[in-house]
Amino acid sequence: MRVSERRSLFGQWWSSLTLDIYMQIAGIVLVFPAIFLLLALLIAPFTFIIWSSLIKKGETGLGLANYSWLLGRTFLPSLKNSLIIGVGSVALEILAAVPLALLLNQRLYGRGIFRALVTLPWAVPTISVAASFLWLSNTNYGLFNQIGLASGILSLPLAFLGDPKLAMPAVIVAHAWKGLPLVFIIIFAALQSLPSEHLEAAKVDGAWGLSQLRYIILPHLKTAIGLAAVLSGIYNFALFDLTFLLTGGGPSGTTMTLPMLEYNQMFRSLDTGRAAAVGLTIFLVGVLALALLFWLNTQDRKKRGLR
Amino acid sequence: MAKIELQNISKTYPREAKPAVQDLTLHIPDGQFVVLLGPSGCGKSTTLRMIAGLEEPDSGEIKIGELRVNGVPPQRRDTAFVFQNYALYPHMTVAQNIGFPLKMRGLSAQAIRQRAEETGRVLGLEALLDRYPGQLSGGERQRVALGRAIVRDPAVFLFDEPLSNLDAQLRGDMRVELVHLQRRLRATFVFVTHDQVEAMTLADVIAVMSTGVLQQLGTPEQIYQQPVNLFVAGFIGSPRMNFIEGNLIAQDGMTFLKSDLLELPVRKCLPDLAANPQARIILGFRPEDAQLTPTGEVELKLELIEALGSQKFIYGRTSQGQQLVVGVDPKSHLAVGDVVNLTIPPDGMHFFDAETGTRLSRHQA
Repeated sequence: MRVSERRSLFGQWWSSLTLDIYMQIAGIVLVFPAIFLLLALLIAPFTFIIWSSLIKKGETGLGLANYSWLLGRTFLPSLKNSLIIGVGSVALEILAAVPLALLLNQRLYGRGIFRALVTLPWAVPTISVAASFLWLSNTNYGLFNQIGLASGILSLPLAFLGDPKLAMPAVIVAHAWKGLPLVFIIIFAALQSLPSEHLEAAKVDGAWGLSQLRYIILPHLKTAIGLAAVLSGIYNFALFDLTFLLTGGGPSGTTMTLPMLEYNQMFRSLDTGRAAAVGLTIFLVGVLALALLFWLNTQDRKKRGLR
Repeated sequence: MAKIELQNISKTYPREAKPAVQDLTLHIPDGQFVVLLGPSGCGKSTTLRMIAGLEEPDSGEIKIGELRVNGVPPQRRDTAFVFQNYALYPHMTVAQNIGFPLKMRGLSAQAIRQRAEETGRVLGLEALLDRYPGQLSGGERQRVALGRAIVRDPAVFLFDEPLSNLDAQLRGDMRVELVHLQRRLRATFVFVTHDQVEAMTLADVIAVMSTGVLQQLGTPEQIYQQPVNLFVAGFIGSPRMNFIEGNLIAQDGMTFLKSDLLELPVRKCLPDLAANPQARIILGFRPEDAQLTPTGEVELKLELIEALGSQKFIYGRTSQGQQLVVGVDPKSHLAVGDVVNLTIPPDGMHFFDAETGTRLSRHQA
């Protein structure tokens, strides 16, 4: 017997164990690194953050003081700004990604290069995005002002990131540019999965151009657009570095976002509890958005009799 | 209701060397059920798509009714197209799917619903009108696709292998339904398939195609009984026709077909063919036309017996090694290894030029 020979190699007391038990022990041992990583990188920090959020700065007892602070005048404007950035940038991304996907799905010369170009911002580090955007929007020598002045749209150069009215739209555009590739790829993949027969059937049925887009293509893309919107929205909602690098939350707090607020509480005010409470709020908004998306999708699939 | 005329149509897809359709001329009379039949890649689907306007021919003219439709977009050709995988819109209910062509024509929601209901009733879909395609079986989806076609009362119905995704039982039922539908609507049906049984049962006229070229146009009987060339002879009929290549030799007032593997008297005299002993010809006969008789001139040793219930086919070899298939009485008791004698009645013989493959004689059945 092969198995018993192999077992006898070990000699000792464990030679009496059967192969099944060996395998079970091996399984438990092998799963340990994964459990350890989960505990160390996910569960432990998460528990620690929840715990920290319950402790008010300078005190030791547990309480909800940090959460009642959330209802005050510091937190709510930042929440609003983050929501505006998340929703606004996603709207821009989808408005750009759908036509781009439709265009690059055509038989065009060199479309492979263009597809690669569209996805490029994803590979560019945020610091480079911010640096280029700072240059582009510079009041004195930036490209945006040059074009605006040369074409006569602007009579005076604008301080895009310095003007309280313009800073938010500018930050939104920067987020949209950075987030476009993700949205584009999701929508483009969905578009490619649209069976050509559906478009052909629609043509024969009398739908072309805009009616084809409205009745066939957009309904097909609905799920993908929802997914892209939520994923990219959560990402932009929680994105810290781009705002930090572009405006630092200014001018006069007009672009102060939740991640920026969390950073300030943590490293400027050294208030771990408030920072943790803000961080958990960001997390909660993301979870709620995802839950809403999955619920809507499930409703839609149920309605159509799919699992 | 309209006739369709294809005049010298050619089409080569970009980046492909061989033309998909080559100089095709085909006249389809009004109200006929025409089947385009051929192996995959023979150009039948391309032809259908050109009629629909989903492809444009490189040259030639297409007419639907009296109207030249070259360059006319699909939505203005007044055709209905039924796809192999139905191409139902998954986000629309059955009623919305059926009503979609009417919606595109700007009919009122009420009129659309009414027409969709009527059509659903015709096709037995009343109970399913508010379901989605994902909730339907294959046969029901096929019916919805049909409904979407008939609801607009088009001049021409085009079908691209619509039954090939159904199971055998359902396919048989749908064939019968399609024939009834066509009779009732008296519309022009063009139906593409690679399935000869489908073609034989459905068609008023079959157009057999191969490598982009129309091989033969005729009724199912004509195609089966008088194939114009080797391709049609071999493609139609299952198991396929037996082919024996050889020379015709006149001897002692009899004509013989002499091949390397067989010497066969050809009782039907073909003096003009026998006059040239150099000419290579191919004799074809269908398995079901050969008869087993004790005095038969060909001896066959059985290697395989295929019993299909209503039919039985025997596969065997002559002593010189010529392989033949013969249809026999399904109740006959034969075993592998038996030796049988068979005779080929003159009526069942088809002669083809070995070089060009064209038919040499036309026996009237």
